[in-house]
Amino acid sequence: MQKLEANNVFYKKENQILSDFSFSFDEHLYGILSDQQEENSNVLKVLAGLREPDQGNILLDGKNVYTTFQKKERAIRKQIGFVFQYGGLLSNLSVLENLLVPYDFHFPEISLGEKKGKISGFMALFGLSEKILNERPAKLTISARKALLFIRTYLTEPKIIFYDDPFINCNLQIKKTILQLILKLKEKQIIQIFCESIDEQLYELADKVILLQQGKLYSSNTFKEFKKSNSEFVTGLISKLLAE
Amino acid sequence: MVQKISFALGKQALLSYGKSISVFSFVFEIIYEIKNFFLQRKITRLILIRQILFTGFEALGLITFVAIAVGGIIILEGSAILPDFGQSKLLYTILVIIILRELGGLLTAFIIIARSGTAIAAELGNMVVNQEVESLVSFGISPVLYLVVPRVLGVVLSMIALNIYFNVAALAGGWFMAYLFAPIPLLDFLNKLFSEISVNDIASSFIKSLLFGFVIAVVSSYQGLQVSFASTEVPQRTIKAVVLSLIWVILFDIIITAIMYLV
Repeated sequence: MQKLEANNVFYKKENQILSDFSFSFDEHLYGILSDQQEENSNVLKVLAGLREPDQGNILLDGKNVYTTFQKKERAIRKQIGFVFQYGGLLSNLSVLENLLVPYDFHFPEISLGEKKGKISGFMALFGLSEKILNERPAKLTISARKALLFIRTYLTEPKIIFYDDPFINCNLQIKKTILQLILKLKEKQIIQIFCESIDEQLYELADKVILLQQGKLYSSNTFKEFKKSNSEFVTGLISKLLAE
Repeated sequence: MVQKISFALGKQALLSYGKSISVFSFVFEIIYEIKNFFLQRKITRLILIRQILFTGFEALGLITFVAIAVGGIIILEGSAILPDFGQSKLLYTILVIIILRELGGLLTAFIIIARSGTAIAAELGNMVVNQEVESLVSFGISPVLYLVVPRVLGVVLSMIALNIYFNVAALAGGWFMAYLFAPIPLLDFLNKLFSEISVNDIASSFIKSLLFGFVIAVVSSYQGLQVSFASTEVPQRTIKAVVLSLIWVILFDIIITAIMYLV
């Protein structure tokens, strides 16, 4: 059973983004809702090991996700996928080359034909034409670029996936496909953690929503339960999300 | 142990976001990752080929023009001044010294700074802003291995090749100008020229092009990766890359020239 554990994590930039944060994530879908919405990306990046915590540690199956040891890093990164909010596609490579970068790096043993087959499957699922495979990302619509970030992550079949504002810049069809895939992975018991600032739908589907107040763990429960809450802090956070 | 220190320093350098990281740790990681570059050819080969095409092949036109013009000008100036002092025989010595030892490497480096140094700094800076560098880190790919090493190797190889090409083109330009004023058979010209070229001249030219290429690529990559969030930082870092590359190239030129004359 996969487990991601945050132990007394502190992370500060201008604000205290995480403060004595401890939580154990197992094979479910988690949403994080914070009163510092602008710091959502940083919260996810610390949990994913892309930022070094000031204090505390984050362990994936007992191994620190932030490591400066190259060999360990490669093994850990193979297990963690991160869907960026925007950007993230290499602008000087074609779409196909972009999709192949992590795939070739982690799975050099798989043939190019097999990789292309899997890429075609995902392209069809997201309703993207294979003609764009030879285009540069800058030529594509924002929605298509966002879809490619998901495809690139799903191709390597990570055991834990972080989504930074997954629905931002998505058209309806792509949003629908993302929802289906997230639910499918939820059934497969993949650890999925997201922050979303414009749509409450994913929070409704999450097994648990984690509320952060000034970087501290305020509470964790289902979104349904939080909606019933009388707490001023909780209702404030939810109404802010619904208002977006 | 070396690997651990190197990777730690490199990762910190690239994810420091505004913290000042020593350029020495950056150079240290580049040297270490050159070994890994050959092990990860599948994902890095394309970047190297593109860098050589851009820095080397696409600069050929400009290099040809500058080299022929400079070679011609040296002969023109020399033929006008030297006979007044009864030193016409020094013309070939001067041509060899100026082109092979000094101007060949320096002018090629200046052209590479203007074309490739600026392009590398701006491209990497924009990649940081667009989260492209961070996405590489999220895959577990060292940005130094994937982005910097192919650029360093591409610029160094291109610099060496372009320097040789510049020298040949400049000497050809010199012959052409000499031929216009006092027709001299190519073979005679080459004989006189080769009698003036020493192993030291060739060694000096090679060492300079190797070092200049390395310095330009490292300084430009370092400055590009020092961009933290805003696209407005990109031109600032690009200018810094040009200024620092020029300073370092000239400093190394002085040092190598001094060493070569002392040897």
